[in-house]
Amino acid sequence: MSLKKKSSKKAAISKTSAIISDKVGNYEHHPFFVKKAEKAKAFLNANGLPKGLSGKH
Amino acid sequence: MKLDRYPYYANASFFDFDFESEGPKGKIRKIARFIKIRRNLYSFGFGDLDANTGDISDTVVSNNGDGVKVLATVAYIVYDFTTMYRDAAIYIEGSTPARTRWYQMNIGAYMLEINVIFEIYGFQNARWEPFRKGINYKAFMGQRRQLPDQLFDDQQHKAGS
Repeated sequence: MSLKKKSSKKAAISKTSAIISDKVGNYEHHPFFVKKAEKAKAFLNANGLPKGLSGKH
Repeated sequence: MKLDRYPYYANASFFDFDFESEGPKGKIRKIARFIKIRRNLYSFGFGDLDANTGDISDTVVSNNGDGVKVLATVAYIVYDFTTMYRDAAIYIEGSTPARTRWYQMNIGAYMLEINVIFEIYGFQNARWEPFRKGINYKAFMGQRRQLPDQLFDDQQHKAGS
């Protein structure tokens, strides 16, 4: 990550209420969230996104 | 808008969050995560962590008497995540129709406040529409509005670069 990106991430974190902790695991590959993602993908592929949504998705 | 919430923790990626619900049933650990579907599009899920098995469930009824506080904590998490990832659109669907309806009622209850910060859409009759109170939606999608503070931040970045 570039220095600029790092400092902008740090600035954004300072605006949040979350406490950053190493004790929070990474659940990216947890079956619960994998299933959720698959379900969401299927739904969004079938139904698309709201038309008013701004930005690139 | 200040809501009673639990303290919550995030890892460095800011995709995974962790907090504890406290009530008559004791302490229940909750895990929340934003799952990237594609660029700037995320699905959000959260559930109870079973420390013995490592399983996470969003169908179990905790009955810990703090549903409103748990949902407020989740709202803060979504707000924080979109502070970090401003262009993120978040897809949310309850694990059961009853839960989806509960989310809908709570979004509706705070719509005046939420609407200032987020664009919210609901899915019903095979289409997305801007969220309206009292409609039973199947799913929701939200995205942070472009607010003056963001424009200011962006200008600051540009000025500093």
